[in-house]
This record gives sequence, structure tokens and C-alpha cells, in this order.
Amino acid sequence: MEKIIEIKNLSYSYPDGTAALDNVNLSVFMGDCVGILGPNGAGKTTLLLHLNGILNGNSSVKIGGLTVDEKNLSVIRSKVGLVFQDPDDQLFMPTVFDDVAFGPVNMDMGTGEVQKRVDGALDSVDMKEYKERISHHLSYGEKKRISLATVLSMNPEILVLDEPTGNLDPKHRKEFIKFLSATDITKIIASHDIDMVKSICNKVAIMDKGSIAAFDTKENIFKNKDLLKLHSLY
Amino acid sequence: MQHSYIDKYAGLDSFLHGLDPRAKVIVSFIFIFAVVLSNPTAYLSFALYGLALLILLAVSKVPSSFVFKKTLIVIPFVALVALSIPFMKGKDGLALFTGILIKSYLSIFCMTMLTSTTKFPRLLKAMERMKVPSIFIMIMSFMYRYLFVLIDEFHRMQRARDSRSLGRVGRWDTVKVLSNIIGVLFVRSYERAERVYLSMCSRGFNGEIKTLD
Ligand SMILES: Nc1ncnc2c1ncn2[C@@H]1O[C@H](COP(=O)(O)OP(=O)(O)OP(=O)(O)O)[C@@H](O)[C@H]1O
Ligand SMILES: [Mg+2]
Repeated sequence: MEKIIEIKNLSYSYPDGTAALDNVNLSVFMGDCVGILGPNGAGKTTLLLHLNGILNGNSSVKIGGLTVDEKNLSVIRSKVGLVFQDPDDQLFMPTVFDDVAFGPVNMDMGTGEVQKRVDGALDSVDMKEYKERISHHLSYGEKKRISLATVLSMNPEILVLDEPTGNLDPKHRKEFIKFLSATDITKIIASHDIDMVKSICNKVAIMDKGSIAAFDTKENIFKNKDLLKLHSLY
Repeated sequence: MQHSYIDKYAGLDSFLHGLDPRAKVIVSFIFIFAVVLSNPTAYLSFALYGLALLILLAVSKVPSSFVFKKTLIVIPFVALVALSIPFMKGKDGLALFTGILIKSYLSIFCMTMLTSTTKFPRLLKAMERMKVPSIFIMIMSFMYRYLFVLIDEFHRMQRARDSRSLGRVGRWDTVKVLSNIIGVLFVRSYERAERVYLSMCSRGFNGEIKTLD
């Protein structure tokens, strides 16, 4: 199998001195779905921000064999679809259509292709009738679903999702999970939703205090009750 | 949340709502130019301009109370600026002052009519097609999008303060807390701007604004 993400000895401190990542190592293979669990402040979001070069620790992240650095940035960003935790950060255009079209337009696609991408992406999150709606009038859950559509329209090879099921109602949470398990794109999902991780991920990483405390198959991780207890996940 | 949106009534269905946004933008700007360039004591033409706007208001089906409230909100700021004028010129300062007051009121009235008969995103699209520089359109669209996020945040913080102050707030406390809230709001907006920029970069933005077509 092909290694699609390779993180080696990654450490990162925020400009104010907070050490958020401490010697993180992680390899993800094509088609994997990796769940990242861990308490608040463990460094999950910080780790995800390294996957498309928004943060740059010490150039030790490789995506599809390419080092994440200044000169590979545009290629990497078209491969990695990152969805932020807060949908008000993700949705910055006046209408839903403009937002979902933002990525494809930046990838220099023609009008017809952009329309097709937008329709497809909105369809897969069950939001087709919302095309002309204005983003700030939407409910939080609706914003979350559109946020996912904004990267699906770019046809990424890797989906990186930060807390995607937060505030979704049970019906849409279930549909969301169904949609994610149906796509065979490589996925990295940071979440507190243990049931979701259990049902769609095949591998689980546990983060605590900036490092990876454990990384194994889902079965092995959830079997190990002592480990889960140690990191307040059980 | 409970604040009223600028283009709250833009979804209505009337003759004015149905017009091409570009035509409305052009006519509004011509109107405002005409108002601004007319003689400050040309009261007859001011009356005619006002009458024209009132007719449009009636045609548009937009509730007049909404429009009048919106226009009044802006007047204090204009008045504050205009107040200094009587002291500047000796002879006809007062006439100049009333002239400016009327002119700005008419202009604001006209802009309010434009925004309450056209959805903001369509207005932006129209300006884009009229070759308004894209950086300008980008700024307006961010303003439109995040004004409400900011107002919501302000309301939430105010509510959090009210629910913790047990109703025992003196006027001085209010001022202190309010200035605190404004400070925090500033920092939050700054950080939000940073995150939004990163989110744009994640979706392929590299400093060049691209649009469809
Ligand atoms: N912009 C920043 N500046 C300084 N410190 C930060 C910044 N962002 C996060 N941190 C700190 O870095 C650490 C890791 O934060 P991170 O957001 O990655 O946690 P997380 O695992 O995503 O938490 P949560 O589950 O609450 O989303 C925390 O201690 C946090 O306070
Ligand atoms: Mg987080």
C-alpha cells in the first residue's frame, strides 16, 4: 500500500510559546480513515493545520511523497481538503454557492465545470436547495454540512476534518456518517464523537499533551480499556 | 438572532425588486450625484427628489417604518459632522448646514431604497459585471458576511454579562464593562480575520482574486 501522509518528528510551538506538538510521528496509507481522539487542548487542531501547510513546524510532513513547504503549497492544497472546526471561519462568502465555488474557481476551472462541482458537492451533503441562500442566515448544523461541501467540490485526495459532527442533529449526523463511510477518500478526523470514530475509522490515534500516546487499529485501541481510561476517553 | 438585516426586505416581489440590479446601481449613483451637486438652498428640487423617493417607496412595498428607521440611524453621525459648519462660515453657515443635512438624508434614503430592493449578493454581482475593482467587491462581501457574526458575538457577550451582573449595574460599571467588551471584540475579530485568511488559503487562494466567467 502507498503511504500518503508521513509525519516524522514533528514539534510545534505557537508564537506565544505554547508548546502544542511534541515529536509527533504518524503514517497514513491510501484509503485509511484515521480518527484522532484526545482531550481539549491535546493538539489535534494544531496537528491538522500542519497537513496542508497552514502551520509549518520543521518541514517534517510529507503528503504523497511531497514535502509540505512553500514551493509545493498549491499542489498540496488542491490534494488536501481541510475543514475548520468553526463554520464561520470556513464560510466567508456571501452566498452558499459562492462559498462552494471558491475552491474550484481558484483551481481555474471553467464555468460549466464549476457549476457541476458545486451541484455534486451540495448534493452529497443534502443541501442542494440551499445554493442561493445567504450563509449567515443558516443554522449551525447547516453551516457544518456546507463547510464539508466547500472542500468536496475541490475533489480532494485527502479529507481532513476537525470536529465534523459537532452540533449536528441525529438524522444528519447519521447521514453524515453514512456519507463518510461510503467515500473511499483517505480521511483524517479529529473528534470527541467516539461513536462516530468507532463506526467509520479503521485506525485510531490518541493524542494527549501534544504527542501521540497510541496509534493502532480501531479494534486494538478500543479493546485496551486501561489506555482509554488513562486518557479520559472511557 | 434578533438584529434586522440590511437587506431584510430584498426578497419581496415588486416592480422595483425585479429591475436589473445594474440599472438600479447606475440610477442611484446618478441620483446621489444630482443631489450632492445641487445648490444647498435649492429647496424646491430637494422637495421633488424627496417626492420621487417616496413614490418609489410606495411602489416597492417595503414597509416605510423600516426605511425611515434605517435612514434615521445614520443621521446622528452626519449631524455631528455638519454641526461644525455653522461655526466655520460667517454668513450663510446655517443655510449650508441645513443643505448638507437634507442632501445626506436624501442620499441615505436612496441607498436604503437600493439595498432594501436588491439582495446584497446580487448587488455585488452587478457591480462585478460593471467592472468595479474586485478588491473593493471582496471587501464589501466580507463586510456583509462578518458584520452579522460580529453583531451576534456582541449580543452574546452582552447577554453573558447581563446574566452574571444580577441586575445591579451602575452607569459607570456599564461603561467599564462595555469598553471591555469592545476590546475583546476587537481581539476576536482580529483572530477571526486570521483564521478566515487561512481558510481561504486552504482552498487555493494565493492573493489573486478570481471570479466566475
Ligand atoms: N493560536 C494559538 N496561540 C497560542 N496557543 C494556541 C493557539 N491555538 C492553540 N493553542 C494552544 O495549543 C494547544 C493545543 O491546541 P489545539 O487547538 O490543537 O487543541 P485541540 O486538541 O484541537 O483541542 P479541542 O478538542 O478543544 O479542539 C492548547 O494548549 C492551546 O491552548
Ligand atoms: Mg480543536
